[in-house]
Amino acid sequence: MEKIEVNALGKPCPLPVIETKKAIRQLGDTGGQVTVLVDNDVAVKNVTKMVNANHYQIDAQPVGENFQLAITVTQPMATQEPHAGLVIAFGRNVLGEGDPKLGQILLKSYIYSLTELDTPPEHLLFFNSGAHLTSQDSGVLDDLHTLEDKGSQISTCGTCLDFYNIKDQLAIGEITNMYAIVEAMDQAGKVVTI
Amino acid sequence: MEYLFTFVNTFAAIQAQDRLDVQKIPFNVMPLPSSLGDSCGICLRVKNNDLADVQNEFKQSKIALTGFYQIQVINGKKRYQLCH
Repeated sequence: MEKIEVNALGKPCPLPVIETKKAIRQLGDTGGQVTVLVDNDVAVKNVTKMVNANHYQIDAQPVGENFQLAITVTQPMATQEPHAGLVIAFGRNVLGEGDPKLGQILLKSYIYSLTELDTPPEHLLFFNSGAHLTSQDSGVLDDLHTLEDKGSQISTCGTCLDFYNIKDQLAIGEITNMYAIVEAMDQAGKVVTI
Repeated sequence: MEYLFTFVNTFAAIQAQDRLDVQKIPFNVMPLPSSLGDSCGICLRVKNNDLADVQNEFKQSKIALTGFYQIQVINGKKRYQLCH
């Protein structure tokens, strides 16, 4: 069984996911094992998510202050089918340009309106100042919870949560990275950018 | 049970939002339901537990309201019952 080791210590997201994917592809059709070293929880979650999406096995173990991820690959990487759903990318916490007070209240109104759609958006992506919308002090958490209950996936850029120092205030959904954001947009039936 | 407050204009809605923020009274924003008018209005909805605090705050701040409705859900559809 072929084995590949990936040292992603000290590498920011999305590099651990990208390098793990490259290693899995190098294994070829016969499969094998990829061992990945990372140094943070977010990298563990993002690599695990990618591995699970491809139906491989993963075993994550702490090693000192780091983590070792043992991935068993049994078949070639799945070719992901495009989804037909709507992806909405919130790159800021206002709707439109102009008075920020008006922009903020319009965006709250917009997010409520999404809850009234017969088919909810498939995925909501939050980045830059849009990351504030999934935080504890957001005025739209109730509506985001309604959307999540209806099946919408909610993801917020980890780099942005770090930058605004609000990672510990994330109140809904998961932390994601640029690689996953681009992938979600690429597979969407339609992307709306706010 | 939730209640909906409508305002004379967008400025009043923003003023109302600011007052509730200052008083840390929870609320949610939503557009004016089609059944209550055609304009692109902004409304605030609040939960039953916070209703008295919201009414008191709006009264003290002299917020210009146009209506106050009880939100009823009947067969999965929302209806807005005018309150007095």
